[in-house]
Amino acid sequence: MVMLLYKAWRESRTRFLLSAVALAIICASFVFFHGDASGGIGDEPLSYAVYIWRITYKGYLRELFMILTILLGVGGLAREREHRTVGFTLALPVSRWRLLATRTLVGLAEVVLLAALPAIVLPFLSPLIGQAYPPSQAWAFAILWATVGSLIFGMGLLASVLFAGEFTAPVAALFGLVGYTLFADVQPLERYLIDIHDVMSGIDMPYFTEATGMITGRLPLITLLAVLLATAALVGIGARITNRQDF
Amino acid sequence: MREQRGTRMLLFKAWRESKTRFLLSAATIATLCTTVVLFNVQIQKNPGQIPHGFRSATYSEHVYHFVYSGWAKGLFTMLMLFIGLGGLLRERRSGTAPFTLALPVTRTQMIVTQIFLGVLEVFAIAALPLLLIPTLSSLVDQFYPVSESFHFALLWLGGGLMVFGLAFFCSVLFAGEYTALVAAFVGLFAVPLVAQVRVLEPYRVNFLATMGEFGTMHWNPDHTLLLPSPMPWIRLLVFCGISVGLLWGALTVTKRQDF
Repeated sequence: MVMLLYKAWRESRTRFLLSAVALAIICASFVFFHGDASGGIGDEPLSYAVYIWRITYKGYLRELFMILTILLGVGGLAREREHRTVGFTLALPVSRWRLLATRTLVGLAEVVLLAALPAIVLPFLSPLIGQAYPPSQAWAFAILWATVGSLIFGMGLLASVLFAGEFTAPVAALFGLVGYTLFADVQPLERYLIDIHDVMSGIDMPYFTEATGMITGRLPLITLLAVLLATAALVGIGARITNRQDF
Repeated sequence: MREQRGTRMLLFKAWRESKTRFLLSAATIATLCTTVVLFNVQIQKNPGQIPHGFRSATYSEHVYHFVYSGWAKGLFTMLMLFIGLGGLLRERRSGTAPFTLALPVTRTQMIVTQIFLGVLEVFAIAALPLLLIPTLSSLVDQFYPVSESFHFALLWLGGGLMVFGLAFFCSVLFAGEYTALVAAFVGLFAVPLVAQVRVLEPYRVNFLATMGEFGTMHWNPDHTLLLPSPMPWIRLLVFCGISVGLLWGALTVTKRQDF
């Protein structure tokens, strides 16, 4: 098991480390260029909390995080077939389900760490510019990001099981994400589908106050649970398909 | 004659390697443009289904919001990353690099052919809205000026080439699977973020804003057409310069790489 975890880590570590460094640098830049950047995102003067929410949790960084989680999800046995290493991997004395499970475990851990990065960087660096960002807020957003991130990771993982082409899987997962986002905005479906973008940033959510940029209510535990169940379903489907695939 | 045949074969090889990505990308942009034009009434009649900033009073504004400054532009930019991923490092991973390197052509020829075909693909996809929007508009009794579509096609070409160059450069530098894609995505997303810094604001570093003519569009006297400002030629030249620099860098690195 440890060796499988190590294999999954070796396969994804460059992607993960690159993503982590990029997110950390961008978050640090948001803090240090607060004076410059706040003028660029709003006409009216913004409080520090609203500035951080707009630029980090509502803005480009959220989209970047989503795409990075898709890219953490792709890979796996279908890709190994292309590289002709799948024979060696399948010859290991472990089940295919275990191979996928370890890849999922490592990937989810990486997603959680990526989601936690703003929560570590923002409250830690803010005092250096004479500002403060409540860690409780940052960690609440980290929980939202990690949960939704796991679902997006699941989309990437399922796409990588279905499509072997190097770029087909990420493109398919990206289209899946865009398609879901569009459908979640269509009126009859709006009631039944969770808008994952809004859950991540709190827009129009009862637990979030846009005027202060703060999470003021309880986190939507049922929604988060539903997202986690959907993730489990995606991984489960991926496992079933992997078990039946012919390499 | 022999050299010509070699170039043709290299072009065919580059085409085979990129055709799925290209056709998928072209189909996506074409579908989006067609939907935006043919279903413009249905889309605008359901204000609850479209984002706040996308509600439009005129057809011209509708096309601008959905295609030239909105979803189509965003998708186009991201798809250019996929078009740009190439180079010989990919082949090393799949174990075909020795065969390619054994061909009686130089590495420069191989890379230049890949770049040439990639540039053609960027050109073709950037030109799709120019071909589709004015033509399809007449089918729904609407009018969209060809000159405006041409204006945006040039801007998309400039921006698209830069993203293509970035992706190509990353695919030459990073060997790990999907690492180049991650690096290129990070680079692409960093630009609008960096552009928000006030010191850089006057220089309009955000090329995505230039591609969509953010803040420079204006109405005609009848308030029926949303028109762009004159073509920012210098900015386009800078885009081309950066693209050439990135592609030149990719070529130089490839020539020195050990496979």
